[in-house]
Amino acid sequence: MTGYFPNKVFLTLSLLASLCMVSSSASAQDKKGQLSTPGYAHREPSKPLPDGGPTPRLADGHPDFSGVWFKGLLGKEDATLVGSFGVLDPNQREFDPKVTPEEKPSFQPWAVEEIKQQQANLVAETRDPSSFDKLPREQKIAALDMEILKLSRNCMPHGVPGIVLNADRPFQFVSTPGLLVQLDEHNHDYRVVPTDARAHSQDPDPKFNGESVARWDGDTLVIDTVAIDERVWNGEQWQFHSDQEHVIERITRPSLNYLIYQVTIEDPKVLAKPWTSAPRRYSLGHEALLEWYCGVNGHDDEELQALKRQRDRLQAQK
Amino acid sequence: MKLHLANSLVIMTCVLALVCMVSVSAGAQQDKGQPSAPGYAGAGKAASKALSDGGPPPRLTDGHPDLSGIWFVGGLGKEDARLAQSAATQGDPAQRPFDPKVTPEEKPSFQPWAAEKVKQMGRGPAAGALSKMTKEQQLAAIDTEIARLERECMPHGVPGITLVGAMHGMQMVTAPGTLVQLTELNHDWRVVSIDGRAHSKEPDPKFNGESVARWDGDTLVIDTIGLDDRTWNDGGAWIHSDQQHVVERFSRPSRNYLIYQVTVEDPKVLTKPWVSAPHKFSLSVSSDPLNEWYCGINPDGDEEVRALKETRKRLAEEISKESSH
Repeated sequence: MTGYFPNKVFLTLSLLASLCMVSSSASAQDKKGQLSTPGYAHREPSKPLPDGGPTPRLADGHPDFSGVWFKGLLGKEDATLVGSFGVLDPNQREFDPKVTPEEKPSFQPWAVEEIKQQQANLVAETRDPSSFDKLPREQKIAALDMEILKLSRNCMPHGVPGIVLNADRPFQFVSTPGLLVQLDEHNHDYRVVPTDARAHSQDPDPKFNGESVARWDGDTLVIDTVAIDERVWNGEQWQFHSDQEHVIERITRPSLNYLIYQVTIEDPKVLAKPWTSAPRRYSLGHEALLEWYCGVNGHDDEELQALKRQRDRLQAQK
Repeated sequence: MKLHLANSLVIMTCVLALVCMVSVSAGAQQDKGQPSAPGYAGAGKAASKALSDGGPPPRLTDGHPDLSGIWFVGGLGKEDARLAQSAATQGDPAQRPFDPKVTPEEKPSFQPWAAEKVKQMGRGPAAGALSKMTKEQQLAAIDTEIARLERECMPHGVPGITLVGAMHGMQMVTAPGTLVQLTELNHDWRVVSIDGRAHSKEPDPKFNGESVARWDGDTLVIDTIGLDDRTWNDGGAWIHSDQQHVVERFSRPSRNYLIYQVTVEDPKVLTKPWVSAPHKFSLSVSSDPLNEWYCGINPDGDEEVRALKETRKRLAEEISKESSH
């Protein structure tokens, strides 16, 4: 029995961590009307940045997206504005579901079942760790497998569109005529997108960030991505996609201080219909990104090994 | 003995991997006078041809050279694995960062304590050597291997991001006022602002330190301090202190070539500043992007470390049992 104690601590910690991690998508998926203010920190409401003036432009006349971008309207991340569990200051949200509601992805029936099972496994041991001991062995193993999968993913790339949708931390764009570079603080990730309207290759190899091509549609950059490695998750609640996934991202910079990002995901094997996000708002910051190298600190690994040992022990009892 | 065999295999694999890993800096640290051409394993194959200069360097709208492009060590504009395999001997001269005959490069001059540490950390046991060692020696050798393998996903820092991190190609993106360096190895990046700003009073240590940069004519000069002392400067075990000060000079004399020269001052570790030879990089001849090389995704290295740790544990137990008798 004592063997479970440290695991319970780990599980509780990971639950907390995942709550923090999903806060953005949780807020993004609030039902219309659930919103929006009360319940978060007791202080003066935060103030959104002004528009800041006209959009800067590259030498070729297209909008220049360069800058460090934070979710929401504040141009920074203000931890003191984060209220209790998952309730963000509305000005730190990417969108206001009252104004621009966002539908949930519409999964195929088999995918719905799969997600339900995964969630059940998570709930089984993380929501109420004390009940873990009472579970039948098979369920314990399934629950541990889910936890192991989650932890193993900590250093995984987020892929496309996760590199934006799951970007818990700010990201930086550097654009030059013909190229867009995205640098992520979280996991110190990057991607490079040619913006020269080239076509996709015939049969691109799968990559975490897929194969992206991009063109300008007026002042909107349209990035089209295929061949995305199936191991990446589109979101915390969206754990899988197929090799048929096709992602179309639309990025604009309507003024100096704001960036708008909207993404459409087609995935005929997994989704019943294409999913389009709400237009998500990012605001210009003035601090350099921090160094966040995943895996340099070995704690997660220890935790992972402990869970794997526990799982193997249970498996051996069969 | 079975155990020893398995370990020897593991260690031999590590040594081979390391030989490949350090090939760039090995090339960079050839002694003066070592021949630069013959002896590499291109046996029967015509010597590779370095790229032409390709014309004048492209320039940014502000008139400074545009360093943008995907760059490979040496003069071929690509990494040629067949030629690189021979790096353990001499390497194709056209894939080397410099010709030691023409621009010799001194080795870093370490303080005695540092020289001893570098020797310990940087020297893996030769294949089969473990079985001839005492258990205590085996333990020490395994510890060194573990330390080295666990570093594989560590950032290379400055100047390691160029001296080591660029071994499979690097991409530079310059915009007015900004340089971005992206490496294929470990999917690493750094951003340098080129606006003539001064260093902060007391910068916090970071893997890539605090860099400030300015143009000196057509040369970009990057000055870096505040470096986290966990990084190694090269593919060996060039340890450094929190006092390390790095000055890098990038230029693009023609379209197809980038020249990188670095000076490292570190009064706690070196007896005198180290100045590299001018290292040559050439512009990719292909339109392919850098590959995705995310460290730690493939657990092989991890498994290896775990296997070594198990062996280490067994050895330590045996030693303690023997000493208690």
